[in-house]
Amino acid sequence: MRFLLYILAALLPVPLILSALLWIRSYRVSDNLTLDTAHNDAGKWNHLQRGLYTGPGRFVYYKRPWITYREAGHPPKTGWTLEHYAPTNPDQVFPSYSSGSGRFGFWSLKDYWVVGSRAIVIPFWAPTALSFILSIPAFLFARRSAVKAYRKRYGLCVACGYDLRESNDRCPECGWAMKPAN
Amino acid sequence: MKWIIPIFAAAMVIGHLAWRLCFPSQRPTATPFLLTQWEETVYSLDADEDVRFVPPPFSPQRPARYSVPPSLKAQGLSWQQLMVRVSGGQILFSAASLGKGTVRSAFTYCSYLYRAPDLELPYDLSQLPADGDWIVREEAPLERRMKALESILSEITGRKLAIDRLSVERDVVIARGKWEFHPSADPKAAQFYTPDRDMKHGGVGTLADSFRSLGEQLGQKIIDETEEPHPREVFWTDRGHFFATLHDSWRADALASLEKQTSLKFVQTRRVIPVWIVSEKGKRQ
Repeated sequence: MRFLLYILAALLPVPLILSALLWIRSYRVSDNLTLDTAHNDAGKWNHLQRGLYTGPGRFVYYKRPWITYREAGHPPKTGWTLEHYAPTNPDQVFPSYSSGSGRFGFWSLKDYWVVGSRAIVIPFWAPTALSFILSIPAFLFARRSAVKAYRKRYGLCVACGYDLRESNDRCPECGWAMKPAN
Repeated sequence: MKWIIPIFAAAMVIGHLAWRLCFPSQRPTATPFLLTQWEETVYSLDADEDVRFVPPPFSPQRPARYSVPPSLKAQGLSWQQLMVRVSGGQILFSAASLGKGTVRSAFTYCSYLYRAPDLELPYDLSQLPADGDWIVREEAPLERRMKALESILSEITGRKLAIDRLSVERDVVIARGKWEFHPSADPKAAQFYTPDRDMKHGGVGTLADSFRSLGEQLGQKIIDETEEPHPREVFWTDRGHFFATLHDSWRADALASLEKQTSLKFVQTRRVIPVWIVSEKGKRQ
């Protein structure tokens, strides 16, 4: 159980670090990560592209649907694509950006391409702040574990840090019961 | 103490990766034109594709890519159907229609055949709706385009269509003799060949080309058995497609008029010719 907690504590700061790094990167490179999927509905191919576009200080999660008919036996290509561009603001890249609505750097776009297309603009500070809040318990847990380990190693009371080298069963300072050594 | 070196090494590796993530050695210079990319994703063909059909809803950028003339825009009209050619990896918008798409327009766009003698498409099938844009690979042989069209139209219409190239006996016109053009001064005379090129309503090409166009207007194949030498270039008109509506006897009169103008002999007979025939295999369950 303790081991799992250690792993959790190690993983919780990862989103914070990634978010912060991508925030810095967004001012130097605009990335566009897309996932294309398509399913056949009685000969009609329903395509859906989900994408993540990063612009300076912001990123956009978008999805856009479209339909095609293709010759039987020639399914469309699907999968992941990653492209890199010079840093460009989403409002220059996404059509009808000004028709969207939002506050504090958040923005939502509806039907920006064909009917049914959706996009949401998220400022990088939001996931960074959220992941920072989520990682606070991990920091506290790590600090507590480190203090405990230090006190155990140097024969101090795990609860209050009192020197227990002359004590056998209980901390004379706080009353913490020591486990009998086998 | 023993953990210091691995921790330091791990920190160095993570730091290096973080640095490379944030400050890549080569900064991209390309500007993202996602809108254009998306349009091209839709209006292009994969390597193994010859024909694609894109039904509505269309993107708002579609009218911008193929603009409507101001005179039509003033009447509130817009293109209902686009025909896009893909040639040598390039996307070429080549035609547009104000009317709703049908199976007939699909054949016109994808095979450039729209009536006898090359194509026999039953009227009821030809009027089935197929509203949307067609994307066609220019270099694909007609056989491959027809195969793709058969599959796609069957899906769109819900009817199991078959498009076969068959050799069948049909009425044809055999052109014989030696070309000598004498334009008719009679305005009532049926005219096909003209002394001057009509840029708006006609064509220019070899005698064989003109026979192909004349055959489309007549609805009958013209078999070229004319004598040499052939004229280098002839001009013809397709104004009004008047031949297609002619009664059989009037058609004979029209051909007789053409005989006078061209010194050729047009003989009506029956021959076995290759024709694309569209049929329905059966109702879909």
